[in-house]
Amino acid sequence: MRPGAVAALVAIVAVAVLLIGALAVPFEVRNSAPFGFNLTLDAERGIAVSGRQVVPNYPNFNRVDLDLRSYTMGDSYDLTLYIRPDEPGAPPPPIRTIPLTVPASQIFHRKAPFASPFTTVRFPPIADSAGQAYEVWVERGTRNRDDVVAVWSFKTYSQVTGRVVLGALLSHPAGTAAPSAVRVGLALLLLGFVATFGWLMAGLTTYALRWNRGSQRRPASR
Amino acid sequence: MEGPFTAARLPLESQLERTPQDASWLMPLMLLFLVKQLLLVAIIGPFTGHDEVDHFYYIQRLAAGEGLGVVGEVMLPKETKPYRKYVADYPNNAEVIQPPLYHALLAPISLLVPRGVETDLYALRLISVVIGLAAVWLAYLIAGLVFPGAPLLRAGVPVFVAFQPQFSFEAAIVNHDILVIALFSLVFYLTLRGLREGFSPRREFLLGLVVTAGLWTKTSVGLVLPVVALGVWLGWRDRRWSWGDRVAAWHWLAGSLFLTVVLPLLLVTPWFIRSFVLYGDPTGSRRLQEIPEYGDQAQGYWDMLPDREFWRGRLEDFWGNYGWRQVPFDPHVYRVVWIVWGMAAIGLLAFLIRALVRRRRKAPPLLSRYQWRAIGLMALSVVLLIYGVLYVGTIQFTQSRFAFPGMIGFAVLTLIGVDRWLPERLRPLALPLLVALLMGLNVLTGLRFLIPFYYGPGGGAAISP
Repeated sequence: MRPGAVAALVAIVAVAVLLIGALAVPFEVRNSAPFGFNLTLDAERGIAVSGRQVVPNYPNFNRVDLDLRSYTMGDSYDLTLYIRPDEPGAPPPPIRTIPLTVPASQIFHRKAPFASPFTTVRFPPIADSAGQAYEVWVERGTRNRDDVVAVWSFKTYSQVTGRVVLGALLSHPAGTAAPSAVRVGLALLLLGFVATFGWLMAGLTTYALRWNRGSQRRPASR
Repeated sequence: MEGPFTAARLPLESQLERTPQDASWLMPLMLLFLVKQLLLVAIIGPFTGHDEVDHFYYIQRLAAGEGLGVVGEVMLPKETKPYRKYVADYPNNAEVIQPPLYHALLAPISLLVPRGVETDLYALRLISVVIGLAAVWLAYLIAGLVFPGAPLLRAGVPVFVAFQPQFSFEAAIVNHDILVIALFSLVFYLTLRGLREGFSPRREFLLGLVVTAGLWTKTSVGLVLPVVALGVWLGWRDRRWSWGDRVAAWHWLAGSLFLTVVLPLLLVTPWFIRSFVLYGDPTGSRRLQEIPEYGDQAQGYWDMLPDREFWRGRLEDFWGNYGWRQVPFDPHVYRVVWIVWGMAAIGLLAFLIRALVRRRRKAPPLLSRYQWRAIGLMALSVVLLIYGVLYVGTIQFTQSRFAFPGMIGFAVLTLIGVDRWLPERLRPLALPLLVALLMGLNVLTGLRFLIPFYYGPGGGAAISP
C-alpha cells in the first residue's frame, strides 16, 4: 500500500473512532460540583453529616462515589445508600436503596497518599434527573450500628453520550453576547476539530512511513 | 572568516533537516491547536481561570491610566463578587504585585475592544491562544534543532506541548503565565542556537533583551539565568578558550555574561527596588505570604520534599486541574496518566544508564556532545523550575504551573523515555499513537469533567454565576 493510502485509512479510522467514542458510546460524566465533589458538611452545626441534597445537571443519574471514612478497624462494614427526591412536604420513599458491604481497609480514615478515597456505587439510572434535587444519604447496617463511619463527601455521575454533553454546551454557550452566533461558531469549531485531527493523523502517518522507508537521512548518532 | 569577535558557526543542520515533509504534520498540528484553544476559550466559564479576574482588572487598570497600584490598596470592582472563589485575596487585586509587561502589552488591545467586560475578556483570551501557538512553534524549533534525526522527538515534542492539558488551559485564559512560558522557551531556543552556532554579541544582546522581557513579565523567569549563564559559558569554552590570548578570551566571557545575565538584572532593578520599598523584599513575596488561606499553607522544604501527598498534589496540578483547581480529573484518570509518564521516566533512566555504560566501554555515544548539553540544560531548567515550585511553597500555597515555563524540557525528557521503549523501526510509527492517546485524554476529560462542570441540561456551572 502506498503511504498516502495508508495515511488516509489511518485518518478515516481515527476520525471514526473519535466520532463514535465521543458521540455514540455512553460514559459517565461527573455532575457539576466545586472540586468535583459535594461536601457533607452541615455548616450551621459545624459537623459532617451522612448525606446531603444533590442536583445532577444531567439525566440518567446512575452513580455515587462516596468518600467514606471509618475510625474503627473491623473486617467490613454493612452500609446502605438511599436516594430519594428532595421535595417539599412529607419525604417520599427512597427511589434507590443500595446495600453495600465494604472492606474496612478500603474506607479506613487514614489513606495512602496515592489511594483514591472514593468508593463507587452504581445503580439503575434515574432517567429524568437533570436539574432535579435528590437527597442522598448513607446509613449503617445493624452489625455496624455502634461503629463510627463518616461520609466526608460524594461525587455524582450520570451516564450519557457525548452528544448530550456537547448539546448542553451548544444550547447554553457561555457569555451573554449573541448566543446564536456563538452557537454556530462553536459548531463550526467542533467540526474543524474533528477534521484537523484527521488531517494531523494522516500527516503524521505519512511522515512516519516515509521516514521508515529511508527517504530521510538518519543521523549516525541514533 | 573567524576571529576573536566573530561567532564560529557550525552548519545549520537544523535548517537543512527542516524538510518540506515537516509541513505535512506541522500545519495540521498548529491548526488543530488553534481550533482546540478556541474551543477552550469558549468552554471555560468567564473569569474562572486561575487569577484571571486579577490579571484582567490589572490590564483594565493600566488601560484606564490608573497606574501600577499597590497590593492592599487596589480593590477589585464590585461586579467581580460572583467570582470571588476564583480570587486569591478577594477583594484585593494581589496580581498588581507582579511586573507589568504582559498587562501593559494587553492594555491597548483592551482599549480596542468596544463592547463590555465579557467581550473584552474573550478578546484578551485570544491573545493567550496566539502566544500559546508561538510556544508550540518554539517547541518545534527546539526539537528540530536538537534532534533533527529523531522523528519521535522532532514531531513528538510539539505534539506533547500542544496537547498537554494544563498548558492548553494556560493558553486559553487571561494570565501572564502563558507569556512567561513563551519567553522562557524563546530564551531556551536562543541559548541552544548560540550553543550550536556560536554566541555573537548581537545574539547575546537579543538573548539579554528576551530575558529582560521575561523578568518584566514575572520575576520567576530569573530561574532561567543559571541556564543561560551555563549555555553561554559552554559556548565560550568551545570557541573562545582556545584563543592564544587568554585575557581577550576572559574579556569575551565577561562581556557575554554581562549582556545575557547582568544587563537583564540591571534593567529589571527598578521593579525590584519598587517592590522592596513597597513590600519589604524585591519580589513582594512577604506580602503574598499575608494572603489568608494561602500564606497559611506555607511549609518548609524538608516538609514538602518527603511528603508524598504534596507530590501527589503537584502531579495532579501538572496534568489536570482546570478552573482554579475546581475541575480536577478523577483519581483513576490521574493514575493512568502517571503510569504512562512513570514508564517514560523509567525509559529515560534506562537511556541514561545505557549511555553511561557505553561511555565506560568507549563505545560510540548515543548522542552528540551538543545533544547531551542541550538535554543537560533542559534538565537543569526543569530542576530549577521545580525548585521554584518548592520556593513558592515556602511562601504560600504552591502549584505545578510555576514549572510550566519548562514545558518543552518536560516534553523532551518524556519523549526520550518513550523513545527508549520502542524498537528503532517503530519509533516514527508511534507518532500517530501519541497523538491518539493525547487526543483521547483531552476529549475524555473535556467531555467527562470540563464541559459538565460548566454546562448541563439541568443547569451546570455550580459555582460560576
